[in-house]
Amino acid sequence: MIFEFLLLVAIILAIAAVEVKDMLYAVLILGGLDLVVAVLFYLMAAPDIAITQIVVTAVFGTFIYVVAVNRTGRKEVIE
Amino acid sequence: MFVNYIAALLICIGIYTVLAKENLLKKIIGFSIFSNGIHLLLISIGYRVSGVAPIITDIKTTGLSLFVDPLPQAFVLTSIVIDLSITALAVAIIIQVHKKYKTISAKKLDNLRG
Amino acid sequence: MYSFLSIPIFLAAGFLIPFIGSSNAKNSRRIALIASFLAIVVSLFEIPSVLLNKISVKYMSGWMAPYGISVAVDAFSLVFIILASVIGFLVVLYSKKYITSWSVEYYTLLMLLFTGVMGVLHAGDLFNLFVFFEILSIASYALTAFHKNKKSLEGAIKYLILGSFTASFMLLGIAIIYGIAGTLNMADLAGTLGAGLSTSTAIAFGLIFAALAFKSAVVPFHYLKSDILEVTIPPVGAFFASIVSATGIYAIMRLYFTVFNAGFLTHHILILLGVMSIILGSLMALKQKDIMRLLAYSAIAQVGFVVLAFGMGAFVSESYIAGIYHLINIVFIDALLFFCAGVLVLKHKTTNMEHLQGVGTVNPVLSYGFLIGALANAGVPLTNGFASKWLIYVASIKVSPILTIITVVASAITLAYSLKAYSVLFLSNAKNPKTIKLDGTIIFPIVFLCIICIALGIFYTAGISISEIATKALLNNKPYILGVLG
Repeated sequence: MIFEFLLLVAIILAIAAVEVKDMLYAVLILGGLDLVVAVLFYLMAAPDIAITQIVVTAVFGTFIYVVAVNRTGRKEVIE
Repeated sequence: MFVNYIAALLICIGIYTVLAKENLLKKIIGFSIFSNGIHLLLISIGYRVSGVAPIITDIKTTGLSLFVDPLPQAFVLTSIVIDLSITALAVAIIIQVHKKYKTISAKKLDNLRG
Repeated sequence: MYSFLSIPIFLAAGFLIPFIGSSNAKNSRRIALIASFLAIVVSLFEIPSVLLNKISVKYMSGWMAPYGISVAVDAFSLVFIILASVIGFLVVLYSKKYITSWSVEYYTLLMLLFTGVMGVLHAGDLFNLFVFFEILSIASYALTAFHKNKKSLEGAIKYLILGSFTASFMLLGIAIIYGIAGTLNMADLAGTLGAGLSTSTAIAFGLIFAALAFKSAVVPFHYLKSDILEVTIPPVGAFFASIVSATGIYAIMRLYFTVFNAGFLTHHILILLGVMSIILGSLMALKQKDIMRLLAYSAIAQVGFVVLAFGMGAFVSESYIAGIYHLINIVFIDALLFFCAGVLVLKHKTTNMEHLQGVGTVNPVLSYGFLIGALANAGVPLTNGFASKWLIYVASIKVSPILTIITVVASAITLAYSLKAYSVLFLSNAKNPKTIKLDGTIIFPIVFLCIICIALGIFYTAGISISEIATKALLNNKPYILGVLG
């Protein structure tokens, strides 16, 4: 029940991360997707993978992306 | 299993992002979505219904329960770390591209031809 | 099992260089030289045991074969291991003049690249193959962008996006194979999968093949050679064109013959890919004005000959010998051509042949080296290219006369652009020839490679017998399975 709900939330977050035009929001939504996927890993009986996913992608990955957005600008398309 | 379809959908969203979006950072975000889809697929391959995590908690009782398959989980651990290093390297190169070209649009990078 | 030690040697060098080299930058080069030399020594020590027992296996931490990770070296792998360590040593020697600053970072990345190559060549199961393949890929992305000028950065980011995607496809293929077979050990898979082939197995092999073909630059996956070799520095470009490409072909053939036992009808696909590579490589090389791109397309054409020879092997069994022999030859020829052209690129800071007219006339070593490389590329008698190409012509007559026509015409076109490159660079009158003073670190690799090219051409029976031993190990996977599984 909650498992299928989280799967749908993951799809919605993925589509949102792709379509949003502001890069900082896209990166933060990607961090949320990583967190939802980590909870899915926990529900599928892999708690050590869930911890690794949170630390590596949701914390370090988001940090690296935020540094990138800081150095290159927040707009997706610059005319 | 429903989760395999969602993982395949995440993979398709990731591939679409790399092909269709022109911002280089968006392409790397697409690569992250793609790798999340692949990891979800890998762990669902190893899942056994009503299995517990492959960690020995109590020596006396753990041998009697059904474990999920630990090999795909080792795969996913390796792959998460490899993808982090690829992301870090890609972001470093994109920051340098922004310094030299003043833009990170893939349409404006066209010096290699022929 | 001695040759496995080359992986810890390169890893240890890769971790020691930032510590010791940050105080004195010259130490980084000395550590890299020592590590490459030790790798040659340990890989030569492996020859007796492989020739005696046909395969040399090491089980990591004592866990037996299907449950643990195993490292297996047979005669086919040993040929590539010795090639990779020798060319690696020459590349480390040759890059002294090219790296004047940031040498600590360069030698660290180079050691990691060698670790990846050695790991792929030693891999005994698919998991190890994937991990070392990723190490190789990440080091190559960083080395492409090393000098941080506009073209290098653009090539590097495009290469990174394409390469990481195809490597993830390889992970997907390995996941599908695990789902079907339940094991990832190559010897165990050969027993399980060789019996029945299904659509899912074919899809999985296709995904893995796409990733390996991207590294080995067969057409239509030739991005590595066509665009990246133009923007890298010449020693790194020489290593990519010769060894990274040969590693990709090694992994494809290991999967195809040992694991899947050539069970499905993809010989036609290999012949088609080979012919496309030959035609595209030769024709595109004719119109190039840029010396590095010309040599890159020439390398694509030569790999096309190898893939064609492996494809024809289903019909003519001697064609496998021709394929392996030609792969050994083109590793040496491409390295030699890139080394010679790279000196001119270093001195004059441009790769455009119109600006490089006649600049090579000042130095006879470069001139003779490039001439021998160009003649060997085209397949002139007395060089090693002739012996292997002759075997490919003979095999292709038995398959179909059209293939013979295509290969012979492609060799003629190869002669045309090789001699065009040679005459533009080394025979024309130069506007202002600057004298090029070469020291031993550049002369020794070029002379060594020239001697090997001519020696392998005159003593071609040695080359054919080496290829025969390797082919027997490749085609018959029963000794491999018995040796690994006990």
